[in-house]
Amino acid sequence: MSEMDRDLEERFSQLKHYDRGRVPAYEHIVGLPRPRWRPAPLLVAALLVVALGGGLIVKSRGSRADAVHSIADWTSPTAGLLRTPGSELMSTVPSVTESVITLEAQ
Amino acid sequence: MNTELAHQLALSHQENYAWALGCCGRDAREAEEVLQAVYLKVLEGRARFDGRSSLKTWVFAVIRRTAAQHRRLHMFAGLRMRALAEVPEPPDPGDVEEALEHRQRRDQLWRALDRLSRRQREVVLLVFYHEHTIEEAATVMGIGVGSARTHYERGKARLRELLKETP
Repeated sequence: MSEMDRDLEERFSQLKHYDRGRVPAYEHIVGLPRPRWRPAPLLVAALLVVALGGGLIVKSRGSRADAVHSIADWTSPTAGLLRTPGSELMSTVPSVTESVITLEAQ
Repeated sequence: MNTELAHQLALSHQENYAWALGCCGRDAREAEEVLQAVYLKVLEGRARFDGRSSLKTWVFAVIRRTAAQHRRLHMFAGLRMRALAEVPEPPDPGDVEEALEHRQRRDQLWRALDRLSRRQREVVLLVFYHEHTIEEAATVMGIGVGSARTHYERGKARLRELLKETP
């Protein structure tokens, strides 16, 4: 054993000797009032985060469903520009027997 | 309640308290709370001795685990005090100068131990203070013997350096 090991042993032995006179009685330890359970602050914070996160997820899912529902009704804001005078002529089939007067009246 | 176990705990109480104190960074109040929790766990059968090691080694392992749980629970509650301030220091009888020198040596040792990693501190305490073998220390700490030996050698070397450094 090295000199340093002996020095460490001596230091720990002194510490042990010192501690020996300061040990609370076994009965004192067993008889201590039992700690009442209190939620740790970290646990409370974690539960709050989970609850908040859950709420946000539910909310975002709801708004996504609304978006899917309304996408079929969506029209471009510039769709009106595509409507030009006489464009109805392009979407109808003219009849050969109709007179020009009738066509103009339409 | 198991009276034989209670008797065994009472017999090893001094050693148990010293180890709890070591696991709680010399915080006497925390050590008492941890030890109470351990005794209640053992006496109420929530922790069962399976006979794979000696009773002392097993109780030490329960103390170590309970101290770690206690530390985690109170990490954010601000209940963990710094060790040396918590240890009551009644005046030593006898020669005042000698008592003062002893106190300085104890404080120096604890400051140095405090700067070791947790595992190094635990294995050094178990071997030097509690006179465990490396194998027993490994069982208490729940690690392999090789790993315990590495922590012991490194811890001891670092402790030597720190004791040389600090006056």
